[in-house]
Amino acid sequence: MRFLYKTIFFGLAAFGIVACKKSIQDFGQVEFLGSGDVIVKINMASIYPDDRYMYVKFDGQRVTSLIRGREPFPGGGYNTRGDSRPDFLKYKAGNIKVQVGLPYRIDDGRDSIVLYETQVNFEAGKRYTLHVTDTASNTKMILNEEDLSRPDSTQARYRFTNLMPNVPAIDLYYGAAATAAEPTQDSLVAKNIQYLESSPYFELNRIATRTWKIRPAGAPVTNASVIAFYSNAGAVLDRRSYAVYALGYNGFTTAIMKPYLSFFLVR
Amino acid sequence: MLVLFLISFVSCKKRDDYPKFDDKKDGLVPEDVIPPDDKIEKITQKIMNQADVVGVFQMDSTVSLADGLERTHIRFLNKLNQPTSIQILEIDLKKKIVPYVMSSFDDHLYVAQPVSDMAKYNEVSSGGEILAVINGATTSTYSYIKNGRKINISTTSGKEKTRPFFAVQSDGTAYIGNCFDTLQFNFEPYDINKFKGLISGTGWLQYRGGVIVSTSAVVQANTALGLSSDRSILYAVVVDGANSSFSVGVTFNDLARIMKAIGSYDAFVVNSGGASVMAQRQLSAGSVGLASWNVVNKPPVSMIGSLNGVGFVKMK
Repeated sequence: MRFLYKTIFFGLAAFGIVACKKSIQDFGQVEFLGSGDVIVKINMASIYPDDRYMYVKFDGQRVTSLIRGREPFPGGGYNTRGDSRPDFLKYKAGNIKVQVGLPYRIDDGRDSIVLYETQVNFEAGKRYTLHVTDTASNTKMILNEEDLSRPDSTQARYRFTNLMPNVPAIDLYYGAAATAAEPTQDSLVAKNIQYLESSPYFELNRIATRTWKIRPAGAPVTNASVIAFYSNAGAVLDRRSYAVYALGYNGFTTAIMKPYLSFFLVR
Repeated sequence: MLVLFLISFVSCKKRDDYPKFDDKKDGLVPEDVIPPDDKIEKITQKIMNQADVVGVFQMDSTVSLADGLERTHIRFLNKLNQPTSIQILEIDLKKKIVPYVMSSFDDHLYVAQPVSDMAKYNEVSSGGEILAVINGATTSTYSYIKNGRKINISTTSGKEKTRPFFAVQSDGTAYIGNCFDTLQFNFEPYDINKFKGLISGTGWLQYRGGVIVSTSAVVQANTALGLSSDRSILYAVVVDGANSSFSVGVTFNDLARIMKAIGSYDAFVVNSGGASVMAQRQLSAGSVGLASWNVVNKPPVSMIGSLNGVGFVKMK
């Protein structure tokens, strides 16, 4: 009995001491960005009819999980398959060998096929997006350096990239959903963006009901000429920077192959 | 041991800075005191003499926002002894005050924005200083031209086609008209391509000097626009109706009489209800060159944004 009292006594005493302790938010193991580091987001826009998995390697080491087309890594994006976080990979600066590979049917870590290989130069302290598009031996990659500054309040910054292999040049518009006979509210914001090229940055007000649309460059501003559209439901935050990109294949209608207009957060 | 047990629970009970929600606060609702006013402004006198809507005059005041732009606030009890508050902008279009059709965020989208914010966004494209603003439409069925771009100029519904509109032509002159294919209210032929801006309203109040009799008896907040017969003076009127202890609003028939009394020849209701707002430019205290637009009437606390509006611009 005496032992029981003692146990209760010390138990309560310990509780009394510990109860008021501040809770600490645990972020896990944190690796800070060093002066010799860069951060990179990989935008996989290689679309295969069988929706196959791929990966990206930096200097022979896999830096992505197995990802498919329309699946930016890490962090996903809007009108993509992932969620939408402005996440980036941390990597060391320097000349880096980048490879896009296909795994074996049962992935054992080896490369089944290396689809594309190139050298890129990552400058320390910078932020990059690496866009991968087209398929098999035609696989292409472009590296965009991203602006780290934040736009003013109520504004958001955008940059459009054409990753659609079968549309030589694209015009990007925003307007309203195509409910009216004529798209009278459409405004051109990026003009004649060639395949594998990006527009300059542009800033717009944060407007929740904006619908983004792409048309072949120079096409008439009609509902019929829209290749793909995305209502702005997700990408409406201000003081953010977005990468906007067209991917998929014009003329296709299946969920995997059809054209998409997608976004991801850069900042 | 029991004491220790109690201490362990009591010790964490409250933080010092935790607010006490039970404390009663003194009521801070300001009393609506209407100061005595012996001087009746000219425009108020016109309403009292001709409109037959004023039961008991309470007060009025006129401020000049620029040469050719005056705002008058009138408060009175109507014939049913109910409080009524009216804001009137009288714009002399001969004196370099130009109306400008504004859009939310200065964009071409049908999205809503409070007109006081809209003024801030539209000032650069207006080419001058926006001194005062009124609300426009709240739904996208209304006709609308912004900077010469036809966002919506007709609809499939017959009712929509009888809607009156206010337009600013490329040379800055104001125009009140009707849909081009309607026969009910005929106006001189016009070229819609020459309109720089256009907003449409809900119903006619006055046509060619005559008052249009409405069958509606709804007393509510209203925004109206009227133009004098020589199109040199524009009248923008906002009647409050959100808070019945401050102002109950007016019927279309009373508003039509008010428009006629103040001098308009053609007039129409731009919008009715919670979106009826007038705002006035004011330089922010302590900041150089930073303008803000203060709402001068009393819309509902949850003020409804407008899709467009009209700003009155002093050209540089």
